[in-house]
Amino acid sequence: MSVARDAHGAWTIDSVVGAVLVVDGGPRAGRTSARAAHGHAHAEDDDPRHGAFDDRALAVANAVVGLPWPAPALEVLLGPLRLRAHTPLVIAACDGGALAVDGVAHPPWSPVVVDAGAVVDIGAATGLRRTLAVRGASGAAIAAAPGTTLSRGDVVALSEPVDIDDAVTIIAAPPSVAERAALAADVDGDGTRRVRVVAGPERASFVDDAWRALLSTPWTVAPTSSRQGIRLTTTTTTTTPLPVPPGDGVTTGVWTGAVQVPPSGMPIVLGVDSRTTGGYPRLAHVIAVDRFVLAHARPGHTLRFVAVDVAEARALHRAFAARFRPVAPTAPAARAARAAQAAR
Amino acid sequence: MTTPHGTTPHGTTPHGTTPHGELDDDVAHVTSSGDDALVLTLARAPSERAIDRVLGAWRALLQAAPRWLVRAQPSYVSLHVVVDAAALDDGVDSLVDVERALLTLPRSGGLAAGVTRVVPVHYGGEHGPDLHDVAAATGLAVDDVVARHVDHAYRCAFTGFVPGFAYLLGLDPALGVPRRTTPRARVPAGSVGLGGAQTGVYPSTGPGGWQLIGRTTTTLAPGWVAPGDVVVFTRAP
Repeated sequence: MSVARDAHGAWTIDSVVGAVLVVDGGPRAGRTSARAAHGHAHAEDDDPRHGAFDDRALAVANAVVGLPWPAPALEVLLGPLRLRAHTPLVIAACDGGALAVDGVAHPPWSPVVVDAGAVVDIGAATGLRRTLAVRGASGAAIAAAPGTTLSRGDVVALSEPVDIDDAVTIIAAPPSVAERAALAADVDGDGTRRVRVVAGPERASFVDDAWRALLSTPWTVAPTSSRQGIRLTTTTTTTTPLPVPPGDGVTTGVWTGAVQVPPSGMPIVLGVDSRTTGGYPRLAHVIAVDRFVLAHARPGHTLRFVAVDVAEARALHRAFAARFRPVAPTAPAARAARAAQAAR
Repeated sequence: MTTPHGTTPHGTTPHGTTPHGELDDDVAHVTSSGDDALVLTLARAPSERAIDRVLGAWRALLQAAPRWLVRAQPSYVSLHVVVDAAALDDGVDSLVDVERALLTLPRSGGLAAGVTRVVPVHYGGEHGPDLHDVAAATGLAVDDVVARHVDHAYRCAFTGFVPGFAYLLGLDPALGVPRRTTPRARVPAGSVGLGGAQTGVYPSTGPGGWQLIGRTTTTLAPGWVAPGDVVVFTRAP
């Protein structure tokens, strides 16, 4: 899909391996509330897609370049990606991987100033996806609607300035070395990624053996996984499918991170573009601060679920939000949402 | 993830009144769904009254538009509410305040009469490859299957699943059929299907497990139908 090719184009995609998707904070805190406030809650609310799969990287990348949540950013599947700046930019690339401007290396998770004419090289993802925040010198965000796929040659415009005073405010200081270590996925020596879960809404309808098996099984990410969901299988011949409760569940609302168990007994973890309703029983739910691990789960990776309680999960989420998504004035977020909608 | 799962109501649930004006099937309680979503359950079993209560709470919540609201998804007996932790004040567990807010939402009048949406359908043939299977499964003649489906007022209970998909109330119970054993990898947009005790239209092309009895050429963009609207399938000329 092509995007605006006007005189205000701020950068061009020179080359890309994989796919580049414009994402934002998703329905949360921006799109839904803004629409509800205007009484148009029923239409687009059906479509919660195009949120960042790695919502933590989105929050950090935008905060350190000075864009208020839920401003858009780029989600790069695989990479590498090469951009050419036409106007001065401030960028931040998150989730590890290399970043170079005119051949000079810069650390991830930190803002980097890019001069007009410079070439930006975003290295391949160390997981599966990278998140790149881009803002113009005056505080403008990407002027492309969430869900837009970018290709080689696309010229991407920046929106009107989104900052409240047209003066750029860094919303959060870049993460320290220690914080970066804490932001990384919890990976065992053998490459197993730990994902924390709480009991799901239908936990009580499963036998206890199902819960124990979910937590003790090393699950393998299946190749059919996508932004809609991470499908899990087992590679060990000793593992049997999870026992599934009898009957057909009543259709209900579902949300990213839900661990559904369909009749096959092989779990599916709902991704950021999942259906909004479902009926498969939910044995567990991946906690908010660990959903980013799903965004970086490559087919063949091993995941292991670790149980925590809801209070601990909520405390972790609040601590992250307080650090990287401080409660901002309402105006910039509203303007960002408007700018994104105007671009559609 | 390939079909709108689960069961849907058919028939009615007998109600007895209580001294408080609520009915036996009425409940109001909040449970957790993961660490950042809550479920407000308003009925024990699916019914038109249950939908009316759920949609009443849903409309009131959207109208109030609290800062912490991320997304609210109504369904047969409950409202699923995703909460933005970053918009909550600090506290031991500030979701308690959200629970309280959900429990004080008005819960009636949600299924207000909407507008009528007419969807012309080409039944059978290449458009409805499973029509004969449905006839065989139900013991009805092919023409009778169509006759029981067409020119009938279905009420949109809620939307969800994929953008533009409507959950419809009012299917003739005689048309209840199991979903296909193996879902199709690609169901064309506009396909009209039966699955369990439900009927509906696939608004976009994608995988699906319903029995396909027809197809509409009408484009069903997100928002084409809203809860409370009446959907009528007609025979396409």
